[in-house]
Amino acid sequence: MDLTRITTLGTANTMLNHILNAESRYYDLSQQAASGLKVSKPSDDPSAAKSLINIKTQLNQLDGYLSNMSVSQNELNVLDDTMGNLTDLIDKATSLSTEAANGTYSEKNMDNIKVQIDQIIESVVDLANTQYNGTYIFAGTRTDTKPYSVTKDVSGNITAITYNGTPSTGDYKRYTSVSNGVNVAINTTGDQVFGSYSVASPTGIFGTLVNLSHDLGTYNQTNISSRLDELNNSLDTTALTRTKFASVSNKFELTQNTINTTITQLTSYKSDLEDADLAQILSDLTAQQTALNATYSVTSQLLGGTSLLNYM
Amino acid sequence: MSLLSSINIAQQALSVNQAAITTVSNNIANVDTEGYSKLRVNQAQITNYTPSASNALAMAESCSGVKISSVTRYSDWFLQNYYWQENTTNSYLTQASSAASNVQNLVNELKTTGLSSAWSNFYDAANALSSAPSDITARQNYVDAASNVCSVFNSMSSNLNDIKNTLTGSGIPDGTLQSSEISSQIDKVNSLLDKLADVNYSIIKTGNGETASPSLLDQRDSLLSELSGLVPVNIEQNANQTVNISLGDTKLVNGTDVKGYLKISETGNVNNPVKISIIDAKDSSVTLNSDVTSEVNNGSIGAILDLCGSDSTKFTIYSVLNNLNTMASEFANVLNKIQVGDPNGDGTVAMAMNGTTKQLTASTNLMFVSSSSPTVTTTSSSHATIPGETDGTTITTSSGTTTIVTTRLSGGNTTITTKTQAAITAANISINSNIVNDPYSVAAARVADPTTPGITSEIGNNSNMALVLDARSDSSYYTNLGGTTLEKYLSNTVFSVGTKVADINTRLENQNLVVNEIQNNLKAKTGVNMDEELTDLIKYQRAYQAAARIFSVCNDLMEELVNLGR
Repeated sequence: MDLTRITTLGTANTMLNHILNAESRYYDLSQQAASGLKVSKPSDDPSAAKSLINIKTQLNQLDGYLSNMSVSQNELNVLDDTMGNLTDLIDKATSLSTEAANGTYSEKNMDNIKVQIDQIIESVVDLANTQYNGTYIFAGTRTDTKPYSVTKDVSGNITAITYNGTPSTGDYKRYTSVSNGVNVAINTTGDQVFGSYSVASPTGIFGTLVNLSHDLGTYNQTNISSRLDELNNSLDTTALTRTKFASVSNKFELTQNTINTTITQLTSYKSDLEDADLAQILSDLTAQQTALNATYSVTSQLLGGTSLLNYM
Repeated sequence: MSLLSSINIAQQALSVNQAAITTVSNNIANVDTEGYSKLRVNQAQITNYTPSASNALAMAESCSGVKISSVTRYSDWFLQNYYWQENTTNSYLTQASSAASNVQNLVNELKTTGLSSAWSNFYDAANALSSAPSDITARQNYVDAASNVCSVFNSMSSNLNDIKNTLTGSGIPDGTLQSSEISSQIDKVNSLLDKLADVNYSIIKTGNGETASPSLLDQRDSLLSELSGLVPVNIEQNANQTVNISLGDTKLVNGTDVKGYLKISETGNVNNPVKISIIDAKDSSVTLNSDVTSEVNNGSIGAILDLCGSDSTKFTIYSVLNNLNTMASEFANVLNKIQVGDPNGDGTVAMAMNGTTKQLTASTNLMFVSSSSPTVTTTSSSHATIPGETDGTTITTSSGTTTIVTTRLSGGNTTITTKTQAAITAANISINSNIVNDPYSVAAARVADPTTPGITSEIGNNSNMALVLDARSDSSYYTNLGGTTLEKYLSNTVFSVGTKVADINTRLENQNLVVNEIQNNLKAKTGVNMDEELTDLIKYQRAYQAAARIFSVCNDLMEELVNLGR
């Protein structure tokens, strides 16, 4: 005889175990449905947990690159605007010089033009001292130092325009971190773009403009004509600077696009890993609920209904 | 042969059935008692048959009623023993699973708190500082974020140590062992050993073997169930139903005597904090076996020993802490090297620009330091090592984490004080207070030549911050992370914790099935079935009624006899 004795306590315990198991599965599913997450602790799915942490890190890093670039992008836009304004000013100076070089111009007219050129010099100094977000953008890394200062003699003639920023021969670059281990310089120095002026060594647009102003003061038309070539050279330098940083800006845009694509992919992978499939879970939940109800009903029948007592 | 003997037989039947009903009643009363073994009254007829009885009448007369031959206690020693063995493993896994879940909660990096979030915030701040190196707010945020990483390391480490201390104490004699979980479980083992010896004594006392009270045997079995959950013991049953208990080769209970008690003590080694020995009496100093720790490899005590030990094949708090310490020290060392050193070996110098050039020196401007007090040793020497100086002059030299201060005393003697800074761990990593007090001390700049004129104005130089950001994803900065970066190492650590916890949980589920199955079998063998009892009840009730009927019949017959003689 191999008939198992079914004992009352054994049955009760077994049924209780079944109910507890069913309830625990029901609870797990409700948790997933409520939180929308299928991995809430590492042991739920260790390799998914590992990937999720790595993805989180990667997303944070990419967000960092994006915000770095957006800050730098703004500065690059300011730099581009400045170069545009500089071009306009040089154009204006060129047309004024062309007029002045004309032999028929009177000395009075020349004085007039000198006033305008001096005004242009002031404007260019202002451009060279452009600040973005508290940073002098043409001061190299001496971002708190006003890069250009102007010295005048008693009669108001400019004797020097001095560059106080990091010289182009030094460590002047400010970097933006745009991807793993890639740091792009986003600035130039004032002395490369604007030059400086002293009697001994006039360089760049400042050298040209101040010399031009002196030539106008001394009515030296021959010199004025030769300044036209110098102004042209300055236009080239400005255009070159503009192109150089426009390409940095383009590079940023490309990188931003790539990063955004990667972020989209990572986010969707992350969602695959951690987000519960709600349709699936809700249908499982319903199935589990049915199973649980069945267990309840069977248990109450078995423990309460089937007994010899009912027939005694 | 007389009418009276029929009445006697009926009277025996009444009392036997009464006893049987009492047993049924007891079975029904204990239908829900865990560990109760069903009892059954065995009946036998009483025969006075003598060979000299030669006729049928004599044969009939030799029948003299019914008696209770024995009471059977439903039990199955083999199955019971099997249950105890599996229960030991089950309780190991239950303890391991609950403690491991606690550990896992502390390194649950999927939540928005934790190390990976702290690092994310730190690198956000590093990006911001890199964009605006002269901005005091950006510097302040960077320092705060770095300090927050330290706090997270500190609290993770201290929470892990708390779990360990709650389970086993700290490993050094500081009073934490006495209040620990393992200590209270060992006390429970010892008290169970006492109780088992007492029960053994009572078993012998009440019936010596066969007729021992069933309730004592039930009590014995439930004590053994409790004991088997704590430690892996060998249980053997003697012919007189007493049990002997041993751990490994050492006997703990032999019949009515407790031969050995378990004793727990600190090892002084935080990585294997406790050891278990066997002593001959409570609070005795006589040791029977000085170290049975390795024998206690199962049961809930075994689980605690494994979790708090340093066995690399097991899931241990030690390994998690170890990984945390590795990360803390690598994080601190790499950032310190970027802050004050030359990590790429290209001869450049890290600098903090705060208006006056500050070329950084290792001792005062590290980002991270250990908050543990340094080890200090002082030696005196009679040799004047500071010649030509006045008394009281001190010379300080530092190399790495060691600072040596030499002081000239009067009479040409010197004292040499060596201070060695404790290595940085997750527990002691903290941000240098000099950096907190002056966020401009953070070296955002890196220059080729710190002596260049005007270098102090280069406040926009962010080359060093670029290195900080590079180090996040460049594994070549790290020497002890097995070729990964910090954040990958963290995710690997979480993976390994998750895998081990999942493994323990799966094993626990399977073991639960095994134990439930054995328990079901055991219940089927030993438990009470209500219907069975009710059937017996009706059976005994009918028998009782019939016996009572015999009384009344015999009574009538007696009356007839009395009337006959009138």
